[in-house]
Amino acid sequence: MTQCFFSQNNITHIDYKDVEILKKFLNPHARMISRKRTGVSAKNQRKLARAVKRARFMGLLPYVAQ
Amino acid sequence: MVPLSYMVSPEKKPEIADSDDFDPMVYEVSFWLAPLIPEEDISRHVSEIKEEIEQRGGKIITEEFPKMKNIAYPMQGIIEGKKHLFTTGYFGWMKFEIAPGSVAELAKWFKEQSRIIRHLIITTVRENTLMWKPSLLKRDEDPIKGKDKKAPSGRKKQPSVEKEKEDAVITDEELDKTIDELVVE
Repeated sequence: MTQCFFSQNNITHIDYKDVEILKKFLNPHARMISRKRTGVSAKNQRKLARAVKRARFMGLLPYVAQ
Repeated sequence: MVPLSYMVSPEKKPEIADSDDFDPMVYEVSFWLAPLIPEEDISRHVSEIKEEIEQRGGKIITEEFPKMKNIAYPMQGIIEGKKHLFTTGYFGWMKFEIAPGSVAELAKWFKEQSRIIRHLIITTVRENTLMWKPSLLKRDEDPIKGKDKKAPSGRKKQPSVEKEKEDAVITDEELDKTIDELVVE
């Protein structure tokens, strides 16, 4: 069974500065990967989305890559 | 003397009452300092930011000193009336505790600073939220990429290794034979 990466690793707060973690959930175009493919729980996917959007605003992640 | 003290106390009281109404919350501000600033001056700018937070009754919890970094996309900043497009900058952040009432003022101060290209104030928790470890990613690499790739790669690898071994054995035997033949001759 696929399990949520964040609950597996006891990550309760997804930090937007943790770019290395966030990058795992983006495709080469820097778009978010659906939770169907990543197995992230609905609750954590919402947290992840917020973190990615904050990281984009702060220029830590691109809005669009190539 | 007595009336004066009376005059002062009622003015002060409401201020204290206001700050008591709202318990301090933990906030985090991250910011990009313009790359035009020389590296020696960064610590001065950081201490100015800290002072500004502490002036409003904030307490710094943790911080990361600004480091030169690439920005993911060109970011515009206006310095001394001139527009600049920055692709690098000094990125830093600090966590602090402050009464919610004074955050709006602080945000306003940050906006007015032209040396700060961009900033973000969010509510967070006191504990460390940066969870990245190299081991974390290694463990996770397979489940995200998909299960389909795992099984065939595992199956394929085993026979290939066996084949190589067989090849190696055969070659050894052949070598022995040829050597024997040579010796006989």
